[in-house]
Amino acid sequence: MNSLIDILPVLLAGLSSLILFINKNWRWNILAMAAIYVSVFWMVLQVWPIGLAVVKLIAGWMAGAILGSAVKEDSGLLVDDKKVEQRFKFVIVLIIWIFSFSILQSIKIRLPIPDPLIWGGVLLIIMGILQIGMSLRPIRIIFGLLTAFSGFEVLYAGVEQSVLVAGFLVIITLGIALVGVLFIQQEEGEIV
Amino acid sequence: MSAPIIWIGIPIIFSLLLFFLRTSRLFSLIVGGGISAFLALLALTFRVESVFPLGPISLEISSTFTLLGRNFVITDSERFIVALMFAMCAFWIFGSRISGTNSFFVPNILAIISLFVAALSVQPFLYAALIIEIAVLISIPIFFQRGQPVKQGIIRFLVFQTLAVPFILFSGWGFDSAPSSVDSQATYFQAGVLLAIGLGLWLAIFPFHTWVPLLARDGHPYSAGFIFSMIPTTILIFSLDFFNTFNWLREQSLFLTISQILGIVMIVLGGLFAAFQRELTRLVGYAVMVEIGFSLLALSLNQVIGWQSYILILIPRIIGIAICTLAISIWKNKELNMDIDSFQGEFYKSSYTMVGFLVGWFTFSGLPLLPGFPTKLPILIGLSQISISSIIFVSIGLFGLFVAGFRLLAIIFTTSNNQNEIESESLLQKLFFSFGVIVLLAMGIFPSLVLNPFLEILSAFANLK
Repeated sequence: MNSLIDILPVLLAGLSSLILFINKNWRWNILAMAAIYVSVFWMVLQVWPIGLAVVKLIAGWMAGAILGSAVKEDSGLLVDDKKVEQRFKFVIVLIIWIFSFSILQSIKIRLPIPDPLIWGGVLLIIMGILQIGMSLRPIRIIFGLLTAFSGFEVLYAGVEQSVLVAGFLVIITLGIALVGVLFIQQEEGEIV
Repeated sequence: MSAPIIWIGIPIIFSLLLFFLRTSRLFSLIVGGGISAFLALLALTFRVESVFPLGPISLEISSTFTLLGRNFVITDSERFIVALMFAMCAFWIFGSRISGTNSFFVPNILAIISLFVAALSVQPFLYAALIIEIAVLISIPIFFQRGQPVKQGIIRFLVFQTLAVPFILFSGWGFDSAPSSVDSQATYFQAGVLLAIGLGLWLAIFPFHTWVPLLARDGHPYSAGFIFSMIPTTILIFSLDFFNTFNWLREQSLFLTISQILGIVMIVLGGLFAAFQRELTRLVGYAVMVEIGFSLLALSLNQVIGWQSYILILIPRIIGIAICTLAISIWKNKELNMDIDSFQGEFYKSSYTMVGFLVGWFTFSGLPLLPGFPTKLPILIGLSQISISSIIFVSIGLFGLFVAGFRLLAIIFTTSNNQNEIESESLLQKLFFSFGVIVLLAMGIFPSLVLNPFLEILSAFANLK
């Protein structure tokens, strides 16, 4: 039986990835990204020492800061939300959550890691892939990639505790964020 | 001094230096190309784990470099892979002078090649997936073209390559944990499925092939060509590690059958799409699909002849893609319409470029006297011993490539009265295409002399010989 304190990061991951998916407000998106990495840190803490787990939190927040610093106040990337679109996305997310909880048992048999890590990891991966699949704008695809990759990091943390792997994953997280910045600059004609 | 420091550390330092000096295009090209060529020659001539007297001191190159508890190992048998990587890097860097790539190209591809070498040398080898992903991220800026938004092909390439990483890492974990698992056969099977999906995403195997023609159209052609040639080459060599290490994979007839079917599907799809394609930029993408299909077929043979062809087919592919994409870059820089029908009389305007493109293209098609023929023939012979119907399908795919090639051939010699002006091609352009064509012809006419030395690469995989 898992305690509430173990379940809370899963709920946080679900809520923050939902906000990231249905809300296009730039500041809310960055905050949601930060919250996702708090949940990742919290979940990974169950299997990793705090010194190693905190690396994921710092890397995630740095990625968010890198992306946040690239957007200007007058940027064309700042778009308004449409209520109908948000409602549609919310329904899709509910369906996907039900689907993801239905496959959890079969994943549990194959992966010898704590339940909250499986729940949180699968949730983030599915939300990330949903974001990638339903977005056209490069920057939203970057958010999707970061979300999906953070989910994978949660799952993989349960089976691998190598410092080198943790280091590589940090480089990849920051690299994806930097590619996102390049995409923003290319869209605004500032590059090459 | 260790081999990983020489062939990974030094080029990464140079790439960082060149990144900051990238606006001096000629300087970065000479230094980047020079260091790549030097490292390739060094890999061919210096033996790892032996002592070199340098005047009063002696220098020993050890094979291992330890970082955060993990080893990067370049053994003497892996020198040929390293030499191949850096030789190709030099080839791509020098070609970039006439291709019109952006200023990120030279420093970034030097870093990418160094990371590929790191990926092939890291132990446990599964960490290679993470290093390859870092290389993919570094490759993104080389596709950008001035004044153009981020295109779908670039995004899809990034997404597919990134999504492959979890599958590869979990498959590696599965293969490692299977021997101690209660139901080891089931664990092996699940790891095999994950590996197949991961490799499918990485190598653009059907149904994950969609980014290849899109990237060929959307990215800079020469940069896309670099990715088409070097990423599959690295991943295919990396895959050999899986087959070399895990006996289970070599013994699974189901896995080999799936490889064979997917290989045939890739060849048929690539060939047919190429036959009906009107846009020249996308043609190379379809040729890449056919080439990856042949690599899968070579792998599915699971015999010495298959493994040898698996290595040999890589070499002409890299050069073929390089000269084809270079030709396309030159035409694109001249703002030519990339529709195949607009190439009427182009042979008379840019003969060297056109001959280079055609030689590259017919190398993919497997035309006799070109290296596609001696490298693909053993695969077809091996396949014919398993199933004749497969040969028919593969022939359809190759026929599609021939149709595309001959269609272009028919158009480029057609002229109208007002189209007979001859444009001058630069000396560098002539030299580069002449070199590429001569190398391909030499490989095609004397395969045992020019290509067989590359079989030394297989010596790094003891179980595949």
